[in-house]
Amino acid sequence: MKKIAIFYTVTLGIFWEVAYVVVIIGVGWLFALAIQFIR
Amino acid sequence: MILKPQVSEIKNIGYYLGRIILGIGFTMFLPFIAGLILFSEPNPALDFLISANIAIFIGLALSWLCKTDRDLHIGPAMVVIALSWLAAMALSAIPLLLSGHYKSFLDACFETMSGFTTTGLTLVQDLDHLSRTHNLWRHLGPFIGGQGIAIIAILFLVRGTSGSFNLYLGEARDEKLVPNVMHTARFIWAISIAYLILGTIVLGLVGMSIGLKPQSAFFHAACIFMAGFDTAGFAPQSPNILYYHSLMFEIVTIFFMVIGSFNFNLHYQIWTGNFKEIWKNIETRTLLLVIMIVTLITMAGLRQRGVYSDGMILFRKGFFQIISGQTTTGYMTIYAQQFIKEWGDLALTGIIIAMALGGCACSTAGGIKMLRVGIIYKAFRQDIKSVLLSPTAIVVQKFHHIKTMFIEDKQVRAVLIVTLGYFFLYGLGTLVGVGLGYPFLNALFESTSAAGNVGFSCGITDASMPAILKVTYIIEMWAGRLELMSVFALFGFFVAFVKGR
Repeated sequence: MKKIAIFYTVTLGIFWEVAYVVVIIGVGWLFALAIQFIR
Repeated sequence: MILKPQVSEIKNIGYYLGRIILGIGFTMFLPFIAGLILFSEPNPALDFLISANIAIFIGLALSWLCKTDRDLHIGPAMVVIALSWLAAMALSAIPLLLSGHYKSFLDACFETMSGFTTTGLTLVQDLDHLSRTHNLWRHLGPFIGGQGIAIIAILFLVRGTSGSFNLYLGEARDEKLVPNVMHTARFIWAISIAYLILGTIVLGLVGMSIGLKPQSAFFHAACIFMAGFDTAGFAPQSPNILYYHSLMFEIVTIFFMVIGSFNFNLHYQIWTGNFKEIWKNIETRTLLLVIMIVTLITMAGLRQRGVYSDGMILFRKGFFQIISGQTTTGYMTIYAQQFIKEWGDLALTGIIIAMALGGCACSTAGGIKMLRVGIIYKAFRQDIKSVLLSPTAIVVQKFHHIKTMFIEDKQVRAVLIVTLGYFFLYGLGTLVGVGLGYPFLNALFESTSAAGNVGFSCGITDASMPAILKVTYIIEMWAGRLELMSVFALFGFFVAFVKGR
């Protein structure tokens, strides 16, 4: 039971780390898209 | 009056140095076994058997000659760390030199220092034909050095709690994840191994989807993961990440570069259920803000020059390099010469700022670090507030890093000293580069890349560059990784040895 709880918490932890990187990639993507329209 | 180090102190340093060298020797059995069993490369494997024996002999001899029961204090621990990184460089360079892919022992030393310090600058010749055994060793270097050479010694070879903790401090890690340093070391390796398994599977599957054979895909995946998560930037093929020509491969690599640049303490908090920490921590907030600023600067520079007209290409060529520079990884999806010939001064300045500031503290990343940048920003805010408000007002500035803390003068002083040290290092390499005839911006770019443990090159780093510049970059990589303190401790030890009474 304890091992399942640790696995669950670690998986959620990795999920939140990945979510943070998704935000960073989103920012980069938006900037790249926005800048191509600026002359 | 400077006191000459006592014989017992020197013996203490020798003993612990011997134990760490022993650890380096044992790790060489990994490529030896992999070369024999997995890759069927007996000749390259033999290079590691020879080198491992040399390292183990030196390690055992030092441990035996300097045998002591004394625990290690902080000063000598820093000397041990500074010396052990030099020893690791020299001993690990032996198998690389034996591969025949390096022009000199200095070049092989440059490569191993670049690996252990998670820099990624390379002087290898004909990388595409280097044996898998030697290639594995190139990538194991960052994986060992990134987590810390002393961390391995703490886990397996060094006894004594305070001595272990002092060795841990010497590697520029001042944050313990849990009260016990042994458990901290174990947790650092647990995070790295868990991500190694996950990263190798994901990158391996992506590799197979783009046409690599399974064995090749998983070998590339393991190498790219080790050098990506540990922010080193080595790759098994000479075109680096450009070799794969895959958007998916680039995006997955971005994930591991960013996660690898996180503070191990942040990983610990998140993995133990404190999920909100990722959004509240001063380092992740500063990292996001800095990435936005350098992205704006770099992309404006690229737009100004009209280098990449399409948004998708701008993302793949521009943003990938920004993240790679900011996390101090050094993976590239462009050729080195393109930085100078195509990107222009403004975009290059953006990348230099990213490289100089670096990733998070207590991680595998280099540079000044986000924690310091955040504290300096908060200290500025505090000072500006003090000027604007009434002279009798007491201005208090808080920041959140694992727990909420108040900015103190002592803390700001320590942060500024290390920051100044980094600027000194960046300047030193630039000065030597300019003195040898390289243009200022090129020399600044390469020097920041070396001292910030990044690994980007604009073309200066090459086997044909002057030996003095190779030595300068080796010193920059070494001092940058150890955040100068251990290097100063070693320098002070030699001064005391020569001038002390």
